[in-house]
Amino acid sequence: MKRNYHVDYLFCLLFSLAVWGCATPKSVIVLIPDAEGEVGEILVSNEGGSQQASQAQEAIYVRDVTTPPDAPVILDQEEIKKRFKEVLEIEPEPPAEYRLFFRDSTTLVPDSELQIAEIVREVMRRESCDLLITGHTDHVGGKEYNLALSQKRVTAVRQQLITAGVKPECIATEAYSDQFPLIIGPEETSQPKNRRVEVFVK
Amino acid sequence: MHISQKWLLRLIIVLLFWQMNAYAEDGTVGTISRVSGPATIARQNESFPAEKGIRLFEGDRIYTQKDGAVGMILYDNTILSLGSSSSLTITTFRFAPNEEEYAMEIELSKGKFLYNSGVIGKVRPKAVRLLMPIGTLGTLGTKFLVDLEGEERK
Repeated sequence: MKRNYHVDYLFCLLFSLAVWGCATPKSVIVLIPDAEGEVGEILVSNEGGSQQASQAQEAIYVRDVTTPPDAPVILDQEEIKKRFKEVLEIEPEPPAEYRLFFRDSTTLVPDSELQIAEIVREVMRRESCDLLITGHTDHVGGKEYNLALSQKRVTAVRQQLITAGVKPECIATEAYSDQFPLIIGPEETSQPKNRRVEVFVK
Repeated sequence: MHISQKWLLRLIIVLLFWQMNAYAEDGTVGTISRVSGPATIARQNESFPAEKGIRLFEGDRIYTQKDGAVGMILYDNTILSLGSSSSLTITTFRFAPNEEEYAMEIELSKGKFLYNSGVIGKVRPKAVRLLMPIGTLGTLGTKFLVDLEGEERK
């Protein structure tokens, strides 16, 4: 189908004299720093092409799925706050994160023992029924041994939290064996920092 | 280790998991954490008001009317919030590090959103996909905002 684009443009021009903006308003995606101040990357693609942003406050405007996204521009802080006020205000507090360490297979080191009460206080403060406990080991021992060990650690901490007053139905658990080490080291090395349980209160 | 012992150990692990995963085992992918104004969850053939503490499942659509807003935290700690007259669907959510299975697909249909990566976005950023009427969005350990203009497209 052939269209007379000159006429289209002329209409557009005339129209924009009366009303600001001729075409449909543009959607926008804005990259912002996270709580630690880190900025990642976003890639916006559609039938027309793609654009990438990797700096704080960079915004990519897109008209529709067939028009290529615009090259990123910096949006100022005030404009971001104004346009996204509602989503920024309702943003949930990030999960509180605790790391508990073990002196042997399932006994917590004294400092970590003390953190149990702290976790319970945070649960109360947030009125949360959404906890996740993940169990971890170091690289000593086989996969299945470590999976069972990380599970035992999780069970031990879960029990302590329940005893301290957290409802069992509010706790989810995961045993991850040695696959998320805090300290990355060679195979078959003992690393106390990796023998741990992490508790997230959401 | 003898084969039989190995299987016994496996069985024990499986049983432990069964007993332990009080809520994650049922397929929970996240929880509503904050709500203000009118907001709804549509699940299969029913819909009900969004309230703090409600567990979310794959396929859930969360939407707001005018002046409504919702904040939620997914199982891997991904944070999502949506503003007024907005709608999103958690199409896919797989988080099974032991099987190295990660997948997250969220459909942003209309309105305003905030997204802050969780573990999936950090460990396996390629497994995260956000579908919008204007195109798709890929991320790399990121926090960002989205404002979709115009009518919802089906």
